[in-house]
Amino acid sequence: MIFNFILAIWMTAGIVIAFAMPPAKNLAIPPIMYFHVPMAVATSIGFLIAAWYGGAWLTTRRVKHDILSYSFAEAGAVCGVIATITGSIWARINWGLYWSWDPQQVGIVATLLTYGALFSLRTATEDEDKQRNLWAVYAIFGAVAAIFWLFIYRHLPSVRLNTAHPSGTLTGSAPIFRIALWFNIIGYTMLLVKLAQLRARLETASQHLKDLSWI
Amino acid sequence: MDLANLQDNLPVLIVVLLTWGGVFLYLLRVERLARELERRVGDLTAESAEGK
Repeated sequence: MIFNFILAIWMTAGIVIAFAMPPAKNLAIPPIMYFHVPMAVATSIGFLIAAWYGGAWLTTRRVKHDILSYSFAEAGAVCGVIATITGSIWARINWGLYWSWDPQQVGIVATLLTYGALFSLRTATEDEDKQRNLWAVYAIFGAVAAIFWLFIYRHLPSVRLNTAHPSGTLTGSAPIFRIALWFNIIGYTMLLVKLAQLRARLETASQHLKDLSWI
Repeated sequence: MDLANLQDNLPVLIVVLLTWGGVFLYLLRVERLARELERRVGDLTAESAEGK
């Protein structure tokens, strides 16, 4: 209840702050930027937590860890889709094109396709224990792939020159931009946690119902 | 902060806040459904334990 209250106030304040920010130099920074970047960060955090819980399942064999791993991966993928859409709107504002196969755009699409394949692969086997073991490995592999596609790929020497995607624009700019950005990153990360928790609760209840039907 | 910027963007801001409000209310509804489901599962588990 307290978390919901904090989330509601925090997000509302974050949205108002985004609309009240002054324009920045050299780059058109519309309010959507304070939505796009935090969503992209939440995507990475979701995938990393999914990998963490995947590893936790392999070591503890607690079903809760498998459910949390899957739930964070799903919530991360939802944030990734939103980050891609808002990113292409921002690209249109700055570079006149929604989609230009920029290395960063290629990276996020490759990441989402990887997770799409991993979600499908999880259901490839009927055996639940096998599903959980395989998913744990997939979650760890997915996080490594996400780190490569989102953070390393566009810095590769052969790719670096072809990207128009700004890097460190706000982290290296005036404090007011940094504060607004981090405020929103924290808000959207809380939203990711909320989504993943809800998904996990529904999955846990559904597992219990399935177990009851076998009694 | 740039209040002039805020005033220029006011109509869009209102739409965004209403959308966020809608998303948040939907999240609360899903949470209530999850709580209800958990309660039912608890009841069924207790019933099944009694029946054994």
